[in-house]
Amino acid sequence: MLKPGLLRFLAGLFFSLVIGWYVFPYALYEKFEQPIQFSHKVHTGETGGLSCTDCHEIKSDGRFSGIPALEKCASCHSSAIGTSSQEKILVDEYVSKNREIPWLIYAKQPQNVYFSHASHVKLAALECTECHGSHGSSDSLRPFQRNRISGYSRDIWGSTMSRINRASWDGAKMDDCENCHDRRHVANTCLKCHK
Amino acid sequence: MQFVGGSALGLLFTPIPWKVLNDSAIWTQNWPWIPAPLTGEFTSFGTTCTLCQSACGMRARSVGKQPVSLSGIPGHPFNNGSLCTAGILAHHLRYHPSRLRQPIKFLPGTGYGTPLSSTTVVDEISRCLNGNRGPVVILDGRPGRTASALFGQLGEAHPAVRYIPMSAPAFDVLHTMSDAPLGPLGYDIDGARLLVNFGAPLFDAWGTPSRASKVMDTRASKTQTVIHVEALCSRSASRSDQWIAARPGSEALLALSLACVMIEEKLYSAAAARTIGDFGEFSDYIRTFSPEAVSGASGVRPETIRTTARAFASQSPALAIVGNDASYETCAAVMALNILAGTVGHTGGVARRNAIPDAAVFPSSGVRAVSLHDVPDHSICTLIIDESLSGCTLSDALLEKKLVPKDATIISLSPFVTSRPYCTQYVVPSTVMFETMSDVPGPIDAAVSSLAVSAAVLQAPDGMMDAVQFAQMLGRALGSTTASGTTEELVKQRVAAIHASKRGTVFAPSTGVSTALQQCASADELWSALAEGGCWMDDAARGDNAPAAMTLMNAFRAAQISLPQSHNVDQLFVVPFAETTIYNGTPVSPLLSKVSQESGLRLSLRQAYVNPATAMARSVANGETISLTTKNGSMTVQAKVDASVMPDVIFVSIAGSRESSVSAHSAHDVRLLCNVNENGSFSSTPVSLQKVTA
Repeated sequence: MLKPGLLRFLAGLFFSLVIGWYVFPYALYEKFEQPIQFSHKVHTGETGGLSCTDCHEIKSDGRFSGIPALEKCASCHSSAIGTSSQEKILVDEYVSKNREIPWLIYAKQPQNVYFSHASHVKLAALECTECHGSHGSSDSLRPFQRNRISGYSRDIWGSTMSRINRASWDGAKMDDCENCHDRRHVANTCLKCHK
Repeated sequence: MQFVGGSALGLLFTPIPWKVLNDSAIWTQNWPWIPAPLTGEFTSFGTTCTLCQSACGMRARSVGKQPVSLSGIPGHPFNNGSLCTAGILAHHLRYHPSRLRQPIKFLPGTGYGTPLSSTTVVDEISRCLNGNRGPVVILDGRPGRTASALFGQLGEAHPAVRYIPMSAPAFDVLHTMSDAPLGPLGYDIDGARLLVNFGAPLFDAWGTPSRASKVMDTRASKTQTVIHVEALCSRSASRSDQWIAARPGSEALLALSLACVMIEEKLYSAAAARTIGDFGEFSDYIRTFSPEAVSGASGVRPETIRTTARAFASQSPALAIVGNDASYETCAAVMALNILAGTVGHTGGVARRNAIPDAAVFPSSGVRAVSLHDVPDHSICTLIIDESLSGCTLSDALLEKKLVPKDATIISLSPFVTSRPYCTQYVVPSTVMFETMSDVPGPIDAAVSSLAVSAAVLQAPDGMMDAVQFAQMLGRALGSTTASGTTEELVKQRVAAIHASKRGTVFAPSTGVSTALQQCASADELWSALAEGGCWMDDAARGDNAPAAMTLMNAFRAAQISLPQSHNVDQLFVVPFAETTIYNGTPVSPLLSKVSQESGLRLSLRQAYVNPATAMARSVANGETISLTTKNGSMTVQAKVDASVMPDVIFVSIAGSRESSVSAHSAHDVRLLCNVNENGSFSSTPVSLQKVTA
């Protein structure tokens, strides 16, 4: 039979573990829905026929367009070409009003980091899925989770709090960049990313 | 209590402590008052750097119109894709801490300025210019611009105003040696087989590192030989084929000694000698400076002098060059070498170049401009300086010498605070790069004329003027007429005049190639190429450009070069020393100044280079304190024993500080100990050294 003192101690221990591992992550991140439930699945692959770089363009001088501007969407969706409610929102709220879509960017890096998509995709020949997972074939957009303290997207830390046994696309902290560079024997100096 | 203890222990095994610590650290980087770069799609545009005369083509990566990073334009004739460190950070200058926001009036001796409104400063300048106080001089540190043409118009239109464009002092001397006008001159460095460089920072600052790398490439491909003459093994000296260590101040003697050998051994150009009217008198004069006679004063062995002279005569075309801060004597002696070698007016020598075709709105009077050195001492009552573009640092010691003591006024246009403590000064705030359109002519001593254009992409803060607006304001204040129109309109007229001349080539960044201007269909097409960071380069001057008749002795009688009566072999000399960079004395990005000043790579104030032999002879060890005494005073410095300086010469650091009035220096400034040359530079001065024991 356990002594009452030990029981209280274990209860406190258990309480902390529950708070730390289950409650804290919920409290730390606030969730925001994307303005439109965009379906990558509809646009890419056999259904849509587009590739990643058709919209997320890497220009000839190395510039990366990032999330495409409204102009790109409007080139096909100047008027509705389907019947989905999300396309209706796109056309009515953004294209017809010429208003940029306020996308919430999952993979946005801080200002002090210089990341070149051209170097990683064209020079190092990395697949988009290496860092972005199956995002390109998703049928809807998951909520954007913003860290209440740092202001960063949850995707920078990764989906799990422990950061153990993660996939290559799950997290994009400095350690992840360094480890990837190490594995591929690429220079890992400060000025490589912090220009 | 047990529950709290368990909770505390459990907390350590949860993500809370380290996650909160991590996120809090990031939170401190993102406080709202910390400025964040703009976000948005990156675009790019081409332009031309205005930080110095090299006119490097640069590509700006920008968000909207805000440049966020700069790089060189590949294939550009001036910089071929590279930029110097100052140029890479040129977009920071707009936000420099010492940027002027409104006009300031400084009173002599105070060092403190009183802010004025834009209207008040114009009124005060107008009163100052119209007060019949005496001669007004407009000093142009970057001649050849549209603003320069306007300043020139003021000089021609107003009897009290004298326009003085900055010129290469060596060419000023060469003009005085020629019996007929020579026109614009330049060093054809690329075309020379042998370069004898008397202290010019050819490979470290003369035309930025990017220009220097171009010169080095040219040298490698054409097997050009460079001999560098300097007391210090500077970067230029170390990158040359041969370093001749000569005592500072003995460069003129050394050049004359080379000339002496050429005449003694009849190595000079016979054709050139026939054009020298006083060749006999010059030959008699020069014989005094035999290698044996000069060796003691210069520290260079006679056989080295003879070998160098023979190489200079045999490896035609050979060119002797000198820095723009050289003394009159050195300039005269070095130009005499070029005349004897017969390379004046020829490829690979001191080439004549065509002037940039003038637009109709800027009629040229054809009167040759005078040099600041020709202006009598203490004669200028009002001095106007356009310092809106950096890279045109003027010797304050020289300015102080030319101004009327205690009653002079300087009116300067500058983006930054430039206080001169010896006179009343009005500083009118100017625009910086990216805020105004500007034409950028090439270096004053380039072999061919050139023109590029710097783009205006950002809105200038209220109350800022560019150089053209400043010249027009002065014109209104003086009641004189200057060309009207905006800067862009006037620059476009110049570009149209260049297009009409059909001379030269144009480099277009969009194609990456240079084509003959004749193939350029319209002035608009030329403008488009220049506006995106291209450049126009003139053709080399055609025909026989050698001077027809020269008289050398007038210059040498003025120079009064003489051998020292006796040379004390134990005599030490002290010289002020600063790392040579293109941005000496002009503000650069705070990021750059922090890196270069705090890296420990440079000497700091009160440190001095001493040759190991000199140090050993006086039992001075590295890091020990020594006392230096000249007839002007004494100071203590820390000795840094270094073999890159020649024996018997102590190089005391001025730590890259802005050259300024001697009277403004603290007691720790070595310039207080040194003698001042007639051109405002500080000469090597005899000094005694004593080790300071604790």
